[in-house]
Amino acid sequence: MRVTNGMIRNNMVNSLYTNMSRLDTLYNQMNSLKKIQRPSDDPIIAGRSLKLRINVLEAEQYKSNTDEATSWMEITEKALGNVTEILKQINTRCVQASTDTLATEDREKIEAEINQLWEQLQQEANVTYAGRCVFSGYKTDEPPVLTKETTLTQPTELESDLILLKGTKVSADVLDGGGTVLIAAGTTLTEDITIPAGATLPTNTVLPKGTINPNVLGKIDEQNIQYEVGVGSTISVNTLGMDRLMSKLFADIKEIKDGLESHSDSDTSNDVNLHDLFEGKIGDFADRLLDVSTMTADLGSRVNRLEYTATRLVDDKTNFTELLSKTEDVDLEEVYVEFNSQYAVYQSALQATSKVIMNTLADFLR
Amino acid sequence: MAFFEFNIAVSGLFASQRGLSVTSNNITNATTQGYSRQVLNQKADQPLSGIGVGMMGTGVSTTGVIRMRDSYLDTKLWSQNDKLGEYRIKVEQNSIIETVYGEPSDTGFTKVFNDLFNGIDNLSKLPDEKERQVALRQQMINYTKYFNNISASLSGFQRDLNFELKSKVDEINLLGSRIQNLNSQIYQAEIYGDDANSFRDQRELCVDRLSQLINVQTKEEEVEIDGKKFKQFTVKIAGQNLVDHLQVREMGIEVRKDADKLNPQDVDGLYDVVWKDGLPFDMSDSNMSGEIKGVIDMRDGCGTEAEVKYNGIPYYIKRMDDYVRKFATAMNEEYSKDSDGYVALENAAGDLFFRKADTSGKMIYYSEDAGGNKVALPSQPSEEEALTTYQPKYQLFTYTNGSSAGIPEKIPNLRDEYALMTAGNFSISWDIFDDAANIRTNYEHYPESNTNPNKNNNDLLLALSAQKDNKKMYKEGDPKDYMTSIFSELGINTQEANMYLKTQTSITNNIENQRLAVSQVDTNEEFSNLIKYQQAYQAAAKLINTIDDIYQTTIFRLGNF
Repeated sequence: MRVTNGMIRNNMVNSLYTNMSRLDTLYNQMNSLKKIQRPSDDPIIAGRSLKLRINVLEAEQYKSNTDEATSWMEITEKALGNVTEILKQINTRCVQASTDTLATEDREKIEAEINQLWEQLQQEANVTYAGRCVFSGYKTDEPPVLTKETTLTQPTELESDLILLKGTKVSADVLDGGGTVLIAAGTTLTEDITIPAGATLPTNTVLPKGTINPNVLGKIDEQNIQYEVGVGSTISVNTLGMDRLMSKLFADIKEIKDGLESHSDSDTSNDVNLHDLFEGKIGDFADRLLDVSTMTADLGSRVNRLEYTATRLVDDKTNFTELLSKTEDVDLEEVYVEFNSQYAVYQSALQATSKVIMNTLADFLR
Repeated sequence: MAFFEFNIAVSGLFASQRGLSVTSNNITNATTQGYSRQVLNQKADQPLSGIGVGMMGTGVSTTGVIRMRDSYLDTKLWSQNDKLGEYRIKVEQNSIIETVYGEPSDTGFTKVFNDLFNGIDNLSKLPDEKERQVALRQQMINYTKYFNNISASLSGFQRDLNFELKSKVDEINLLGSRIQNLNSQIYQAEIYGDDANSFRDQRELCVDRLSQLINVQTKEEEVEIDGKKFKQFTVKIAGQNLVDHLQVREMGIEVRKDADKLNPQDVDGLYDVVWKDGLPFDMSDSNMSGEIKGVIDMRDGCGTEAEVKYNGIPYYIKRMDDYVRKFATAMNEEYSKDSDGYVALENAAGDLFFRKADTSGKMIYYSEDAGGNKVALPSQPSEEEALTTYQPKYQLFTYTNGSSAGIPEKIPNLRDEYALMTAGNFSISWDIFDDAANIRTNYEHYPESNTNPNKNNNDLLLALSAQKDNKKMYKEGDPKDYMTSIFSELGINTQEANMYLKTQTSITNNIENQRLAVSQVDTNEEFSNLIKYQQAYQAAAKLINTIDDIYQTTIFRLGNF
């Protein structure tokens, strides 16, 4: 075949293009450290890396959820621990009171102490995480025990018996479930009254500080706040039952206080009653402690599951990141070696090209 | 027979002089595109006989300047060039589409998709926190904008391709009239039996280019007129005559009417290619190829069920439209549910209805009586009726009202399977656009009446979040699967086009080389020719010198004047 120097030149240029495009690919890989720059470089890798990237980001999000859930649960755990301590102290007072013959100042001292402990209990029940009451179910803007005087903005039906405190102002008739008037309109209570479940507190009823919140009490039984900690897997972060516990404790404490106050009459025959009262309350508080420990145990098991999940998520993230890296990252050494050898090929091609097309017959003609 | 030798020597001088001219012409045209090297044909002149010494040579005569060309190789190249042109366009356009999606990277679909669901998830942890509501709204906007941008870019490419089609048609017309013009020049030049070398070179160069634009068939026929033979050259493109000897046909473009749109996704004012003489030009002809075909496939191709079957730009717009419609359907449906699983629906008049599947999975439609109880409709609508009658009452995603500001439609019509929604106008709903606090967070949260008894209940948000992995949302699987399938498809298409382009390039390069082997000027060869003719010239001149000497002797010395 006739071979012209034009053909040689064309071939040279073509093979230089091929060389350069290989160099370009390797150069891009070294620059980005990724095997592929666009889906067409390898559609399979492109699809897989997209999914893995989403997996990594998902694991990250779930991990941050477990962190938030952990904070929430830690606060709850701490509050439950404190409640246990307080209940033990109250119990101790009851034991003391039931064994000793109480002088007037002793009774006053116990009453003051119990009042103090009740205040502490309220604080623990109203504990918040990021401004949200942790024991109020979904109603995180409502504390289980009112912390200030509160006016009801809508009629509130009671799910559970409620003790209305002295100083409660009723604007309209309070009716029970059957329509019987329990408290007439316009009354300001002069002593505490227990209203049964099913009754309705009308709008504009003013409840004093310290009342168990009728919006929360008994109304949050199923309100588990769920955090997503995996695909299709949630964990409830809040602990329920504090509203009912507080209601019971409030009734207990009121009983003790009433007992102590009624005893202040100089009628010694009441001594025995007081003794019996404290004896009885020791049993009741043991029940309350059991409630708290049930709540604590339930929370503890969830904390465990959360810890386990968090560890697994960290593993997941590591695994997915590793897989992603294996899928789309280049092996630097390999690419470097390949780049160098390709570069050498390119150099020699340039060398050859320059030699071949340098001379023509004209160079040798005189 | 006086001075006979002089004549012989002079013919040699002339012949070698012509040889030098041809060689010079070759050397100067060595880099001219499409030029074929020429050679001088010469033969010994008619010998004289009857002078008693046998046949006596009379010198040399030149018979023609011939170009070296193998027309078989031309035809072969032209039959391969069209595929080269077609796949060059496809590689180019597919690569551009790839860049629009921005994958694989940390900034493309993966990012907006994850941000959206992280936004939902973050809000689910503190559903009444203003900042998280606003953040989610922003993430929803970013998500919709991603699809808006893709759709706008793809439509822009379609418009660009439309102009490209026009310029390709113009180029075909230009080449057609050049070929016709050259046909006439060649015809005139060859009347006297000459070979119209460089005209033919130019004509073949025109067909070289034309064959990249569209598939060509050429024919050169000999016709006899008045006992003389002429060659007539015909060029067919896509099976129809473009140039028939001295006649040329012109192609034109016509703006397609909206009603004639090939695909509903197409931008307005696409061109149709037509013959100006009124004959139809079949743009979807599967036998057509070339750059024109590449442009048409990319501009009009909408997948295997469409008129143009290639996966072109409309196809990807369609897939995006499909994605946002199904995504919005699934999300809005979930978003409209109440705690008992009833989906709140609205008809065109804004009346409230409900839908819930019964235990066998059949959809039952309900209305609400005065007491708020759900009562099954006495006449249950068929599936199609329901689609055209109802739409979800609460919406996360709707579409914009067409204003340049991209404000969501206040009263969107999502009936008929969200037909009015496209990737281009995909948007968050007006309610959420208006106030991020209108995002429903739980099944008892009714933003329109400001009812939300359990502010921190996040059950609805969790259900929305679960849609991320809803394998039933698309027939391809969940949203990620759907997008992955698009990326893979696009990648495979581009890869395929790339592969064809490579193969086609090497095929055409090979034929091109064979053609060069025959036709290209080689300077070494020409230099040796130069020497050959120079020496021949010198030799002929020497002859004249010698003969002159002889006549000197004969005339001046012998005569004794």
